[in-house]
Amino acid sequence: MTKDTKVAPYLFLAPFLVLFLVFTLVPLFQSVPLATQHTFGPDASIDVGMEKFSRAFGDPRFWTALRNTLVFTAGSVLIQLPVALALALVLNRKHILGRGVFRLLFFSPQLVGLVFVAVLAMVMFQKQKGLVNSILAGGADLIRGLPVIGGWLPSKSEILGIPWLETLAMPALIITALWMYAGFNMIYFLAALQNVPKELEEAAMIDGAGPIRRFFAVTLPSIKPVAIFVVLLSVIGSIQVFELAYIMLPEGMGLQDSGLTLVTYLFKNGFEIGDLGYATAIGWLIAALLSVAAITQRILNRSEVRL
Amino acid sequence: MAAVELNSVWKIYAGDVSAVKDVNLSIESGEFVVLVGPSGCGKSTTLRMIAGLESISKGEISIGDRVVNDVAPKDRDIAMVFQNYALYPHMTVEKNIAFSLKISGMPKDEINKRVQNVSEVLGLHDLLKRKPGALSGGQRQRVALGRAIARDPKVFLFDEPLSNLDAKLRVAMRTEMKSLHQRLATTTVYVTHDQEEAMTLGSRLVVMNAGQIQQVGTPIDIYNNPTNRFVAGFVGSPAMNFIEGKLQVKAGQTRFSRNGFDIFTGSVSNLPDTESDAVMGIRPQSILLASEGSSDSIPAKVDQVEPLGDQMDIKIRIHDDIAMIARVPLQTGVAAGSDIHIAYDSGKIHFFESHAEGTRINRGAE
Repeated sequence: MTKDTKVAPYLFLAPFLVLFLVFTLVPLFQSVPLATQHTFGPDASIDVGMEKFSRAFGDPRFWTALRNTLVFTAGSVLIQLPVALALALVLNRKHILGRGVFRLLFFSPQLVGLVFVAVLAMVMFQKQKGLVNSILAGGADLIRGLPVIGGWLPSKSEILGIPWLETLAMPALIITALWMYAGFNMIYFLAALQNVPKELEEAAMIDGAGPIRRFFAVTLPSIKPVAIFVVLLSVIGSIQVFELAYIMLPEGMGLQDSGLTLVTYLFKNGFEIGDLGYATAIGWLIAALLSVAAITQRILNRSEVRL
Repeated sequence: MAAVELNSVWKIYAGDVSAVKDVNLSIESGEFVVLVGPSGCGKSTTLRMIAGLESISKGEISIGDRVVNDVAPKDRDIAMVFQNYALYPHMTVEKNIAFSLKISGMPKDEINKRVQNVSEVLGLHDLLKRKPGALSGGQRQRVALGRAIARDPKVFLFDEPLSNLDAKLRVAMRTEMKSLHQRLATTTVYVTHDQEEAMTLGSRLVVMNAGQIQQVGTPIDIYNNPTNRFVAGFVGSPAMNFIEGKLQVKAGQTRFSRNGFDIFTGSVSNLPDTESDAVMGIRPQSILLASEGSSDSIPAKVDQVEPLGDQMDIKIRIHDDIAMIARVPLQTGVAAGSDIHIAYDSGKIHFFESHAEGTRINRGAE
């Protein structure tokens, strides 16, 4: 190899490496001591050891944020991904009319972006005039005449007053994330499904397996590597949820911390209260949580099958 | 075991594209029938209609005495082996073989017995705990066979099962499949594009082209009495030589000429008196080397020689413009560029109508 060919790859990598170094690696190393300090403005600080970490464990708001984040993550994995997979299964069928249109429709929230979707969701989840409550109230009116259920239904004004953004923040966030990301994850599943050899399904069909058995015995195991990957991405994304809550909810967290997430709590501490040490400690705790998720994925993927 | 009956079966896709046109076929119980033809001829589609993986546009298919047009694949009592094996990648060999038995609700003991049986027949014993990913192509194909055999179906359907194997293994598996069929005597429908595979395996061949059956018959019958130019050209290797020219038959005397040169004169049985454009077909194996001056011999020039062990294929030209291939014994020592004389085995000359799908004129000849 000549000298040029040895240097060339690094030259091409340089733009990324420089940015990564300056904006990721250096701050990452700086954040190690920062998590052990109490800061007074940007310049002054005192060393406090592991106090910031122990504070987190004794901080009820931290636990609320952790619980909310895990609820959101569970909502993503247990509701959003099955929906995404179901959409993919439907759209993977040969004779679906307007397949392309549906694909675009489900994917479209990704095209307009998170902020737009969040603002739209905020309007839709509003009390009194919001679309969600209006539809619920309209639906309730339709079945109000029925016996038993009719008497059990809350009144119209009660339904219109459902405080999604204020106290039911987590369901509102989960539903919005479903809208935002189900179509995106559907694309992953669709790609995986299209790689499942058609003959496998046919062999199972001849072997006597019905549609449900075929799904669990053939389709699902065949897309397992992709499914695990999508779950991991979803978990990582969910643990880092911030923008959605910050834009949609009053104060970025709803009333009584009903929508407070870990990253929101980090942001509040670091950039509104100014306790960079505590914010950094929370950041490291989030990183620990993410590592657990990533390691779990690696272990699960070890049993991956070759097609 | 069951007979399979196809009655005016059509497969018509959207846009009026017919993949299978009016196929009529009776497969007897226990028979080994091979559907053979070039790609796109409709043989796989026909097989898939028998399997129930494709709907039948028109006509009727019955297995045993039951019309199966609207019967789901799993209820047709068939087993199918696919070209790419279609083994369940996350299941062990054992589970692959047992899958359909388990679904059918067979008791565990019986399942184990069958798996043992099959693995003995196919020599899969050491592989039972492995997953398909850890097997070679030949082993996978064996497992796919095992999966089909374990079910003890009425009909076996094979869709180019040997195409993914290398040449040597393919020949070995061919022998194995043949002896397997002799033992099990299960009705078998086998699809291949390889005419040699078809000839060696089938008790009867069904030659297809462009969605239609061209000829049904025993391999020897099809080889010796091809019904038209397509079948004549498709079956046999190297392919039959075709020469366009003029055919004159008068009082039992046949004369075939091209551009004024006689290519064949003599007598060919079963030819009606005629004077028309025609195509003469002669297999490379039916062209003989003759000594100069012998009656009916034709001078030819050797362009190229391809040795094949004890035989060789020689590319020859007669009257300068007619190229043919002849298969002759190696020890004749013919070299490229040399001048030779050839003769035909006149009992093995075929005449076809002159268009591309020309029907054979001397039908019934041996």
